[in-house]
Amino acid sequence: MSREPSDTLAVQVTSLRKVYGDVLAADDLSFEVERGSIFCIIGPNGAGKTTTIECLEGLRQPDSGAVLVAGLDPIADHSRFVHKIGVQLQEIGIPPRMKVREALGLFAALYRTSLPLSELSDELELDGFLSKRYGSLSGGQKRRVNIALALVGDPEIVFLDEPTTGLDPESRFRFWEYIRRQNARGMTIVVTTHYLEEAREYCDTVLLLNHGRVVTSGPPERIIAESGLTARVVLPRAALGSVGENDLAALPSVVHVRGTETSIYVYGDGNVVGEVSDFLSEGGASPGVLEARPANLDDIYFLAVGHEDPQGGRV
Amino acid sequence: MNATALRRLISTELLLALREPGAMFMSVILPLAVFLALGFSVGVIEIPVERDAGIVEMFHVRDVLLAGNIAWVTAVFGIVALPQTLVEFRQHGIFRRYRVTPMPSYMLIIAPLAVGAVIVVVSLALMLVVGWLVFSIRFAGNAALVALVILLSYLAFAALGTAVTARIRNTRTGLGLGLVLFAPMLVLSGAFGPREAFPDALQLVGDWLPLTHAYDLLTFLWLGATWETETTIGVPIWVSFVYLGVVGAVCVVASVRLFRWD
Repeated sequence: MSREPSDTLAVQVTSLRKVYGDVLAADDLSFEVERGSIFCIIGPNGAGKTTTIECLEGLRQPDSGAVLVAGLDPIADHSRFVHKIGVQLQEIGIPPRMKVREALGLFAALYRTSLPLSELSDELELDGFLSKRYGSLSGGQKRRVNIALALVGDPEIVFLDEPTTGLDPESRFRFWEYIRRQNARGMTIVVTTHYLEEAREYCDTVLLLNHGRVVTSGPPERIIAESGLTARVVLPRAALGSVGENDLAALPSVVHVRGTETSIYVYGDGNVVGEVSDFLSEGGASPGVLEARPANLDDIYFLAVGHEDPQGGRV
Repeated sequence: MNATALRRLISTELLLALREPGAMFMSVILPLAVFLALGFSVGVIEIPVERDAGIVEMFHVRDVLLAGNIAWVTAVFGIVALPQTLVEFRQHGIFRRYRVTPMPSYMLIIAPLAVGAVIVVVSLALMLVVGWLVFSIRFAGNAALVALVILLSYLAFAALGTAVTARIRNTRTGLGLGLVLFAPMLVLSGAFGPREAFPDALQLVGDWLPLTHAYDLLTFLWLGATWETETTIGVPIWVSFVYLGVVGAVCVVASVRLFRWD
């Protein structure tokens, strides 16, 4: 099962399997993370993102399969392993009475190297509440503190579990700018997110999980290119006229059609816009209300994962 | 993991403890207040202590109040305060968070133990200074032996509190459990009034409570008792010493077996 540690790979996962009761949280997962890359795990709630990242962090013991991080087994080589990684968990992890400045100072003292606290404080906008108790912070502030604690030891590899959930757009932007700078210095970033546009914009490699399995993985552009999807067309259901959803699905350029109460979503290759437009005209419908845009990661995600959007609503 | 990190952890934990007014009150202010209140009231009552060759030495109750207080201060810390910290670590995922840092998990037990020791010593020092200045208290025992017994009872109660709350994940439950355990122990140990006033059944229960043994050990040794001296429980003093050690050892084993990090 195990394999040789690699110099160019930060993470090597082979046939990882983890079961809770009768839930398969990780089902024969295999993937690699290149050193110096930004690697993003996406997927709906319950897809196994946190379980997977916690197996990489050594917090969970896989039922079977092999995990190597920085060439080390996170559990068997724990004492060497913990010097190489930084971790941000979704949970609290800090006594509520501890002040932010104390937490940063304490965590900085745990590692052989550390990033300057002033830099972390500037970049992650902690200045306004360094003297506040952790328990009194807002959700977004706590999140930023936890990110700072993950980075403070200047780790080789940092694991961030939904770091941007609960951050406002400006904070998310600043977070990613800072993460990219750390990445440019050589830090490997492994991150989970619910925001697909982040995965597309900032990550070198995306791993899409669903029900504990790899749906697809690779650079976002390649995933899109290989999917056969080129465009998505949306039209109001009312515009269909006498044309049925199934008729649209039968068009040669169409890969998938999804109807909601109000709208019809048509996914297809390069000809989909023209074909749908012509088809609707022939059927006496009004193609003028068509909205088209190039296919993106969201489309791959929705087609692969089913009918929930990543925020839990319905599309 | 290095010494700087451990020092930093202990000093940060100490700061956090100082921010917990309830615990500070219970382990520093309350014992001092009890010491002064009892010292000025029943403190003047004389205690005759029989020495070898029939010589009787006279002490006052206030001479030993401090020794009794420090017994229950170790119990407050071990049964109430330390478990609060450990349960909080469990409840808020702090044990888990440190598991992915170079800080070994057991340091998160060592650090609050060290902090508690500092607080017990401060409480003791404060009572010693006040007792000496206000009551001119006398000490007739062996200081090293008394210190050893304080340490033993501190560790025994810490082990007891840790074992009882080994799987509690909620600080309120932990606090409730600690107080339910501590309050009857305090009353039945004789620390707040003579045990002879209780019905026989309650005295019998008291005989088996570790705080009664810690209380007897410290008060008797303070007055210079020997290992063979019979205490209020009716056993030689060495039996109490062994009993406290056994309770501590059993609770350490139970803690190790039951303890949950998350």
